[in-house]
Amino acid sequence: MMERCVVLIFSENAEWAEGLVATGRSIADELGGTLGLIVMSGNDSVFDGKEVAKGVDIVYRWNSGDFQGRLFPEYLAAGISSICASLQPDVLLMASSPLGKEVVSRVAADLDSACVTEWLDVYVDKNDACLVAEKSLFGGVVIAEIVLRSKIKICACSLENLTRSEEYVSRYELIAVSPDTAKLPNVLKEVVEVRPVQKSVDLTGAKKIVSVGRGCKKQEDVAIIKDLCDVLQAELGCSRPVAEELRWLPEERKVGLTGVSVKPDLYVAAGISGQVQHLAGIKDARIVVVINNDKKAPFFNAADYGLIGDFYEIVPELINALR
Amino acid sequence: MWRFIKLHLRYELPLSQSVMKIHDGVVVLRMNIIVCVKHVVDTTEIRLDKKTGELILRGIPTKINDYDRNAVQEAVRLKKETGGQISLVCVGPREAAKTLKEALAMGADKAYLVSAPAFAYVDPQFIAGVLSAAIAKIGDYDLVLCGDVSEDGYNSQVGPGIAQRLGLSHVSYAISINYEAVPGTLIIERALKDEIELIRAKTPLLLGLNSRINIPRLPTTIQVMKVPSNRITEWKMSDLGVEAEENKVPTYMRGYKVPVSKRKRVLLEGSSSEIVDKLIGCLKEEGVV
Repeated sequence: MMERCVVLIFSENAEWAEGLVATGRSIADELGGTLGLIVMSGNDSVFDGKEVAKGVDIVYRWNSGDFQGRLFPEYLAAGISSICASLQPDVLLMASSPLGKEVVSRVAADLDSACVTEWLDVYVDKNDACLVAEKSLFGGVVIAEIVLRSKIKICACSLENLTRSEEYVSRYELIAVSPDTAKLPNVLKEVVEVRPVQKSVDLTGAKKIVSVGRGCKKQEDVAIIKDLCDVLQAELGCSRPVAEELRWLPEERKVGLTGVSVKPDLYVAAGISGQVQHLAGIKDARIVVVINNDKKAPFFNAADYGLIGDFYEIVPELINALR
Repeated sequence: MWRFIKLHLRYELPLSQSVMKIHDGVVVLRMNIIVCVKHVVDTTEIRLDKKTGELILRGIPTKINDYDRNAVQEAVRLKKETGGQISLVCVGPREAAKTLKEALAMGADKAYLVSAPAFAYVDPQFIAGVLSAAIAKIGDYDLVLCGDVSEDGYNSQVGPGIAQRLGLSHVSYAISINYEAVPGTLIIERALKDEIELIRAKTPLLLGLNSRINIPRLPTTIQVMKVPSNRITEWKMSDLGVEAEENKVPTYMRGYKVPVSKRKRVLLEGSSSEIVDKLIGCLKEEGVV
């Protein structure tokens, strides 16, 4: 007897599928049903999930062989929505990648479903018999507990949380599925060109970072921070206004919720007030040092060591003392 | 089409009366634009009560979602270059009139404020449904613009959710919008993690804008104050045929947790040279220098 598929996963790549399977497995076990994984065949840019189907009960193979080129969210969402409509899972799990968020939003609209993106945790609450997803609100000030209450519940995992993995034995059944082709849209978009972005630096691997914020009054003064970087052998980062409004430094140096998330051993913030969006990017920094002349700056609550004082006095002192 | 243009130029018909303009040597079609804006709590002002640890949301200043400012600015640019009208739509409380006035002062033409019950705001799909109904009622649009994300929820669902409901294609994470040689077609650059993608798409279309797209030119306080309240049309959900029942909203927030800070919060005091010396001592102990 085939149990009902209660949790269905779609992943853009093998790496994220592992993390989604770990969460999906625990929810499926809790709900007493099977865990399914949709894989797309016939398209090189999307993985064929055989390698990561460990822990999955059923692999649903969507033969998308006739689709050429890049996957548009309109097309992907229509297919996944159609498959969900026929399988009727309780939960659809995906990753909160840029594409993932576009897709789940469309699937949720199509199915009139509850949808939570960027979740940090999702679980069945046995006491209240409901599915609960936890996510950051206001950029990280609090973690909200959201109850999902529609027939099919859609949850897209925050990328930084896709690290869970467990050891499973491969034991899946393979079934072919076809979305209702009448529902697959004729998307009036075309990819003209794809250019790789030339990044001058990748802060995600930096062990030491010194970031500059609006406390720096002139673009030329960023050189003072660069000197500190040289002495500390650190990389240079910045807050959102310095990259987006002042445009003194390129995007890849912007640290924060809409920028890079960093995990250095040492993070020095000079002239940055410490808004929640910036703090979200340095959660995993080991030691945080804050230099700011405003004693009420919120950053001091998120610092290991705080120095209240003028950036223009302290930083040169620091450089001299370190030499 | 091309015969029409040649006739146009030969008889020097006034361009302002036509649906086409010439911008940078390219013929562009007039675009009527609808911009979705959100009224949010100023996240930089949110505090936790020191005694109870609870979120203090009452009395916190409110404002336009930063990312929607970029959307309004982009609409203003497109209007200058192609003609057309900008209509704003916002689902929000009465205070949201402030946000709409600011956007009108930036250069938008009309504004619609839809009131919704408090329980509706947490659910982005529900909001997308209300906005879609409002957009359908306004009608006659070529582009719908949204900020990619809102600074309170960071859900990123509303833009694509509206596109799906209205049967539109969408392009998210847009960092530039340009005109194709064929009128009614746009070339959009979008920023992905390690790539820039160039997309050609036809209107009508929904665009989700990344904050890198422009630097919004903020109106002065006086310009905002000069916008009369009657420029905002107020709609109720019933005007849009949308039901406002609490148990029909697919998600609700049952509570929240406050993350515990593990930072040491050591404040170093003294003269610059004193605190620098203290800091270096601490960093040596921590093993980072």
